[in-house]
Amino acid sequence: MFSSMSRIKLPYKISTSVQKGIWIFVGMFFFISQLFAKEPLAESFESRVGGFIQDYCLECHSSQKNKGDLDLEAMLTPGGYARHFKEWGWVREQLESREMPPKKAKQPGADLVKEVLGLIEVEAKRSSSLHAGDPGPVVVRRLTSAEYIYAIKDLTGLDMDSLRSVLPEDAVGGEGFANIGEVQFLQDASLERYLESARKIASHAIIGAGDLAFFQDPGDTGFELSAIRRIQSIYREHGFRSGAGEGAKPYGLEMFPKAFLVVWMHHYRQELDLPDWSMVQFAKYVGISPKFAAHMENSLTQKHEYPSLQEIHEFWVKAPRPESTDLTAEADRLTPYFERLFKLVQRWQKSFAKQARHREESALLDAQSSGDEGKTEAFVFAKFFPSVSHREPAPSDRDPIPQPYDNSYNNAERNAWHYQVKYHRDDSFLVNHILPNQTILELKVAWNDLFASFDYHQANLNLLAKHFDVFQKDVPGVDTLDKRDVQDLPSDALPWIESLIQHREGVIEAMAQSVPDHIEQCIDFAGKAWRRPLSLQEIRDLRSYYRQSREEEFLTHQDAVRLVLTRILVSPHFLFRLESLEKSESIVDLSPHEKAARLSFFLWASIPDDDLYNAARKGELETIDGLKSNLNRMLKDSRNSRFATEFFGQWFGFYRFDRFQGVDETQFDEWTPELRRSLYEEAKIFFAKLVEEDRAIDEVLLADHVYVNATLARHYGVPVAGITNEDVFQKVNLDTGNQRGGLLGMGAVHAITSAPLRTSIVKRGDWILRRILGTPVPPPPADAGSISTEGQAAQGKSIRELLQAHQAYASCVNCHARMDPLGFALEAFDVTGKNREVYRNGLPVESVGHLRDGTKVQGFDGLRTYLKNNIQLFHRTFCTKLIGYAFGRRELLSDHALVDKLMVSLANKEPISRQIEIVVSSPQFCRKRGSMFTITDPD
Amino acid sequence: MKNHFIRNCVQPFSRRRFIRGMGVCMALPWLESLPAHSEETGKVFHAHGDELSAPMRFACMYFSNGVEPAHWWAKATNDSMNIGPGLEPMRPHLKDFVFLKGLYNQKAVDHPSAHLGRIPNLLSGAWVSNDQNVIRVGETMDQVLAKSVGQTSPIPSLVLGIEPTEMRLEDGLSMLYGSNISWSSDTKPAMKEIYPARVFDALTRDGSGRRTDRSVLDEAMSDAKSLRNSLNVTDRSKLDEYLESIRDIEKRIERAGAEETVVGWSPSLDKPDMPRPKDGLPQEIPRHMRLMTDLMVMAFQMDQTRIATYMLNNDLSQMNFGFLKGVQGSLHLDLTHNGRDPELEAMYLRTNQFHTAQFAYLLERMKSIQEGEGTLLDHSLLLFCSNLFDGDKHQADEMPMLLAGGGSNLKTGRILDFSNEPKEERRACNLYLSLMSKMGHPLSQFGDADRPLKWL
Repeated sequence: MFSSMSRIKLPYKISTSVQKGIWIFVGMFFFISQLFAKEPLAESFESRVGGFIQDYCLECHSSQKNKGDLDLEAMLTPGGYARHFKEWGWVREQLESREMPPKKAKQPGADLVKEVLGLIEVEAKRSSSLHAGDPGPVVVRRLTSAEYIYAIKDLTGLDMDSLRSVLPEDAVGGEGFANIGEVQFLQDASLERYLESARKIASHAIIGAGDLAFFQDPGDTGFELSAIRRIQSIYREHGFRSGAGEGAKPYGLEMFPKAFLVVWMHHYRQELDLPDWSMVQFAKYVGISPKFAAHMENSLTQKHEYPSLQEIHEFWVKAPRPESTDLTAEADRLTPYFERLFKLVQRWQKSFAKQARHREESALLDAQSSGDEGKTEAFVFAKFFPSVSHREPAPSDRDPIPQPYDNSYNNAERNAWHYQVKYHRDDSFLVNHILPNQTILELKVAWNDLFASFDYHQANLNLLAKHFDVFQKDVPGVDTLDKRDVQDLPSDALPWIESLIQHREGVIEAMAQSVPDHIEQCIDFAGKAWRRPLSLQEIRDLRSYYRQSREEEFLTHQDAVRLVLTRILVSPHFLFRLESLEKSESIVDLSPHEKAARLSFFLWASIPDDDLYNAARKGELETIDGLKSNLNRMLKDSRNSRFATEFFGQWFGFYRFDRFQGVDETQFDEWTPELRRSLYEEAKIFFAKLVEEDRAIDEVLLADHVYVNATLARHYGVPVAGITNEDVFQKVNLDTGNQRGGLLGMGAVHAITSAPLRTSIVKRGDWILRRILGTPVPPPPADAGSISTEGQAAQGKSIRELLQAHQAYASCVNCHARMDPLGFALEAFDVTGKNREVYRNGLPVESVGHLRDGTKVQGFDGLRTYLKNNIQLFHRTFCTKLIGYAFGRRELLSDHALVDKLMVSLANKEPISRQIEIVVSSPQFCRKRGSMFTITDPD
Repeated sequence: MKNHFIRNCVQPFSRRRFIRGMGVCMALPWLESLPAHSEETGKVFHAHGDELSAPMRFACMYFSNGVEPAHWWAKATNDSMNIGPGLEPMRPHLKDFVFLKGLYNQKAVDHPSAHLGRIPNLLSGAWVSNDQNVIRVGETMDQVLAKSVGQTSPIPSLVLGIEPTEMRLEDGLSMLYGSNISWSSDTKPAMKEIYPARVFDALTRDGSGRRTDRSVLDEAMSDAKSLRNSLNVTDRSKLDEYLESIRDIEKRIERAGAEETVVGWSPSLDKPDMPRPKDGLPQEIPRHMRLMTDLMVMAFQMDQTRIATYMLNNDLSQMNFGFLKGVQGSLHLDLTHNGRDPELEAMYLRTNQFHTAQFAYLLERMKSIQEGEGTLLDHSLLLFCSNLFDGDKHQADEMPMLLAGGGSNLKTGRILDFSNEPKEERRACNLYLSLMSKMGHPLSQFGDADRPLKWL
């Protein structure tokens, strides 16, 4: 650290901030040294235990020798007990069982050992009470790439999984998780990656006439597509069409008979005993647009000159009168009548279509879009009963292109229109007679966005110029064109061009109007992204950054907003999980927003949602009840599946199994991408369900069900009737003896504990000791070399015989006697997780392990029984891992009380939400160290 | 870019101008301050030890899991050397490398973790922290060079690899250790790049059109600065990483923009001579490795960087060598720890020959590129090594090492055996001191070494 600081110092000689940094740094150095100096070990512990260790242990376990990775000298330094309490626990075990010192070495007397154990116990209690509830030193955490992508999803709705190759890579540390500050670096060019990533996200922003939003496709294309999608979805939801024209399916037509019914009800409201009900109320009752009902009233109840409309009117007049005041019964009774009336309407529509020059044209037209308005019966009819409420934004080939262009097929103008101008708005019936006001505004926004998303107006001007042969070959830029400039144009062209200019001005104005809103929305966005309300200064800074980008860098509004978004997302406020440092000598409460962020990152691996944010703002998280009710809501949210993937995935090692490369697919035909995906899904679903259904953690090992899709049902040989779907995972309850259920039956686990070509008994045994029981064996001696190959060089030898070789070496036997028997128990699963009875060489599978104490562990069920009998070890591992994941550090001595609480809950088989609640309400979780916090010694 | 430079210089003193100035200072290490005329002309000099000849480059190509000792040897003959089967692909280049035997890092040998205690310190000789909560090794020699001679080129160093960081612990230690041989500080690995397309983009980025990037970075910088005082000391150091990262990018933008060489040597390539690789990771390992080698050569040739490290695999790699005829199984579990089964030993040999072939390919490429009087190889020092000798036994008290290139700076075609020398002459860090010195950055001390490697 010093060396790198001094290197920086040289070129920055005149930078005062760096100098200040160095002084702070030096100050901090003294502060740290004091921190440790303040905690001397109790005198008797230091002298008596220290002396004992000097005499009996240091020959092997000194800092220099460090045998078995145990450095007792470090453990004896001040504060050493707290830092190395796990190792001290191990020392106690070894002394109690008299395993150490080894038989060959000098042996201490029984009384001495007893005294030393007593002193260690005293020190343990002293040290533990000294630290209880201390949140410990937690290095500030940066978002992992998973958290970053989840946060973006929650901020913008975008699935940005593609950013995985852009974001800096993750590594794990602490208790084996990626959310550990210590292993999260910002390297030389990391920020370049964050910049690129933020730019990519900002490119998805839709910055148009409406609110700031995000769309799955980036850039101008995304802008255009988003506008079309919005337009189409409004048309689809509110509009109707009769389905003339090829491939166009009719929809929305049910609103006609319903509207007739509403008109009828309103007409007979006295008879129905609802004299005060308005048309709007009836329309809401039936569930259609009140505007549409009003239009139908106008169409049906008046007399018409044209026979078609008159016939419909007469049909309407003959409708039966109400027979009761039961609205539902009357509706049911009248519906068939009005369906017949609608059939009559459709018959007339078809007959007009047949008479027309172009069949579809006439049938599809609504009156307002035509230049011939009011001139023929067909058009008048269409005004009242159109067969379609709007045209699609981009007319297909069969639809007419708009006036004044030539609509005949295969002419250059028509093609130019389709490729360059592309869109035409023709939805006045929908707007005038169906849509509610709010939706009209949304539609307007979407159309303005669409026109602004490409050079629509220029394209249109170019085509008009050609059509009317004006401007010769030198068509001006539409942005330079003024109404005055076009006064001399021929009179046929003039209105078109004038209206185009006017249209363009409308679009520009609509865009301009949304500008102030966008800036405010950027500020909201920053608050969400940074997980807290912004300071006034920050708000001012964001505003002035926008202004500066416009005025000094001459960026467009869109580009400036994108830049502000980029700037928000590369800020340390977004990238780091910052918690402010309070000036205090003790442990202090988190701010409400800090607490909300801890909660959301713990459970959702992401930023708080609006509800949680508001709960923090209102101070709800400060009370136990408020905390619990928010926790309960969060645990029911689908986002907690991320907890399942992140926490359990990293704990058990199936994390990112989708990119697992450890099986040699050339040797295992069944190993397909589909199988790998299915195995990953199975593991994710199992744990997601565990959290969602709030089960006890014991189910991880002891569950008697599996989740399978068709691939896995086949692969596992789990009989499921009628399962054919690859995407749907079905829960299947199993009888005992089925060799599946829970973690140990998962193919993903079998694969990650294998070598590419074969299973590995040692690897699997080690995995069980390490990840489930939490009692890992120390690393093998570096020079152990390999003494067997587990069935590779089998030459008639069984695997058991090969592994026996371990027994012959003193340096191997201790650990392998613990690992191998557990590994054997899973031998009936091959590399891909499939059941097997014989090895590839034809020898029968050996799946019985013999533990040193004589326990026989027989196969899958035997292993489950063994683990069930040792379930408290599994519980203890769970505590360690949960603490590691939740707090972003290794388990500390100060977590003792918390662990005790968790262990009681686990022993009572309480559901997992209970343990999460215990962690979340612990002082470690709710509080942080103050700036001047030191561990004070009561003595 | 030239105008841009001048415009900024006439503005009142700003932080950015300061950094800009610094970039130039670094390009002219022998000058105390910026000469006035350079502002007037806008000309920016490239620094080379000797301005008329090409600069020296350094690359280290690493392969994991050691070798089978029986396959890795060299014996002197009258006019050349005999080599073991593991070195077979180097036969065409016998006169171009030095076979180094018997060098090692003491702190690696001492470490209890057979793998992770012996890999991240390959190029630093430092101790690997055993504390689960503390990531710490040592700054590596390539990164020392990156911060000195590396400052003259747009990219201080290229750190390449094939495999991503494995997300698990090994012996309680983060696999971060097993995935990084380049450490930019004691506590921080340099960012390894495994995507060919990203390397290509970095090499071809010219700094133009990055005005808005700079303004975003300025804002981010002010965020970070205002935050600094409200953080505790460890958090502050994380934030300092953030600030350093910003400065790093600014310098890169600066260097990439300031590329007007006025006199002397100029790179033999000014534009990429290969198409941009596809996004994502190549599916086949041999193709991936070759692409990365080509990119490294291109980076040297374009003088985009002068320092590179390249990990062909991570330590504890389970890389599957099924693409080699007759090879099955994973590198680490099956082939390295092979129980001395002859069939598996043969496969292990094939994998090591494959690794060596990558180095041979690098030499061949570099030999074929003319640079002034000599070739690119003459202007490069190339180290090919693993951190273990006998991979099966995790033997770290010697390492397989080949040193190639160097032109008149390095007498090649030799065997240097240190096995029987006293300890202080066998330190790998002695070699690094010598290499850094040849690169124009002489130090008196590095890692556990206080002297250059004798006989080199």
